[in-house]
Amino acid sequence: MDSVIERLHQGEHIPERVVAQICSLAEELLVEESNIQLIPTPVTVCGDIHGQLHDLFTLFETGGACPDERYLFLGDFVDRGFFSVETFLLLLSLKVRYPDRVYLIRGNHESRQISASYGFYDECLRKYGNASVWRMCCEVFDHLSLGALIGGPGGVFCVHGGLSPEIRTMDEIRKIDRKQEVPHEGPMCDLLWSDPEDGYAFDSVDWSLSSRGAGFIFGEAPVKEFHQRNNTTLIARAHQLVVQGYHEMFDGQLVTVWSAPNYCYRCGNDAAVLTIDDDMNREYKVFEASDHTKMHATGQGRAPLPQYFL
Amino acid sequence: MQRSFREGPWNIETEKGPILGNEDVGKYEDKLGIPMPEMVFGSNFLRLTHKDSGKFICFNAFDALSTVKLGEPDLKLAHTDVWKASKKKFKSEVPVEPGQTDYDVDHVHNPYDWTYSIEYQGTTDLNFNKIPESEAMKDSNEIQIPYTKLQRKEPIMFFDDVMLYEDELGDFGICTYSVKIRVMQDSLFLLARMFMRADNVAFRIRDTRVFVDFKLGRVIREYTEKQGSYAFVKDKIPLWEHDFSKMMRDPQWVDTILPLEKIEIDYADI
Repeated sequence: MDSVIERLHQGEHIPERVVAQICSLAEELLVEESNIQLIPTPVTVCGDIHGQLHDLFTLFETGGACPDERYLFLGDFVDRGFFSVETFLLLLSLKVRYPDRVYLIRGNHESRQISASYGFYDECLRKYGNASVWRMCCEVFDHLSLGALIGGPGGVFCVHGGLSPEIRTMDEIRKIDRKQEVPHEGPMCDLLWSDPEDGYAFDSVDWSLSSRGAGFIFGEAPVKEFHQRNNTTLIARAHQLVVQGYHEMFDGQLVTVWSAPNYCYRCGNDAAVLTIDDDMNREYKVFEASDHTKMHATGQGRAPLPQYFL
Repeated sequence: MQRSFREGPWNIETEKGPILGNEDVGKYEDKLGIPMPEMVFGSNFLRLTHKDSGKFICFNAFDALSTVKLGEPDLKLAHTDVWKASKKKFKSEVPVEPGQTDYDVDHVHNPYDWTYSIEYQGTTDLNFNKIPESEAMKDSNEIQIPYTKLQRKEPIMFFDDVMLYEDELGDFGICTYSVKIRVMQDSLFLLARMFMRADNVAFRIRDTRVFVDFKLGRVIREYTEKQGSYAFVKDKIPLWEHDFSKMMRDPQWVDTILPLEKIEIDYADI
């Protein structure tokens, strides 16, 4: 496993049969994990990565090398960026090599439907000439857990998207049969997809249906209610781009952490990770895009090539 | 980065910067009463100013986003009905207890067009005259953008491509608004394009094209709407095409597939 990790750092191609081994070892580990993983402090919480492998290297430089530091990744490892395969394989390899130093939970992009449309599937086809690597990875996706609790009572509830009106207690999450494709309805779907909101006149509303027709947006009251019922003090989630890398809401009862700098190679945003120490203090560490990611950047800072558009 | 081109009768200015930070996003949201797209290039703009008269036409993100329609949107996610039914079923089985936060799957708080499919045609103080819609549809219409001339590869003296906003529609598609301009010796041409794909629902393209003939002093603006179902476009992808997702986010290709639903032409003489 060490040599695989080293090869990924060197940007080398990982043969299909090695991918199969990594996936199978990872599944064996993940299948034993509860839907809510209990993680001791100190731990560093990371948001969306989206295939930006070189920025993941910067993340480890920022937060401290793995396995020296403990890490929790909140999902969305794949899609959008150009190195989804390598990013996911590196995280899986680290998980297999250091099971109690690396924790992974599922994001909405860790699904067949989404990763087929947003880049991961196409990347697998391009790099392997067939879809079997994508299929193997999707099998692993189905085994990823749905959330985490850092530090026990008074701790931090971690999830990719947010809350669900169908979930009042963490025990209800523990009962979900998670080993399936992310469904279009039900609590599992909400946990991976929902968003908090405190802006645009979102006054005195607990849960609002999204203008899109499906999906909930939640305000402060459901967050407070969740903390009271579950004896937690913070919800750490990812899922939405935040320009400064992290964004606290509802007087610090919820935070969005985003770990893909210069997202999609053109947003110019910073990224951050959140370290929770033994006294439950929060330390945000902000980092910028790697030179490699900047190299892929288009549009900003230079004149584009003329086009005869009509 | 700011760029400008000042030869000829019009000053052309563009600006490109990073996306808005949290604070500015909050300000935009308070003013406009809707959530902002994920990437709002707030400092970006493209502006044409007529040197003699000072008249202008400009494309910028704030003005563009202020045209997002409020009220019940006309499109909804493909799985809306399944999702709502399951939430209603759950609520009937597990009623909300007193003191618990309540939820209603039939009520959207402050609804808006979540697809950001705006009909923005620029911000301008030019006195545009609209030609009748029946005329605009005809090939014989006298006032129209001279595409034959534009197909000639006249040297481009200035070119730029400015993004105003982009949103992933919460991973249910994509919407982008961008403006391209090319300036030739005796004319200029710009294309402001709204491209929207709602997964398993629909595609939309709303284009504003502006052509300026320097000698004639005439500005012609053409606005078109195209729309088609997701399945309609998907079926048109050639069988040998491997990069499916690339095709589905390529406005130029989708533009060749979608049927034209509306065309409006107006012009201004200065």
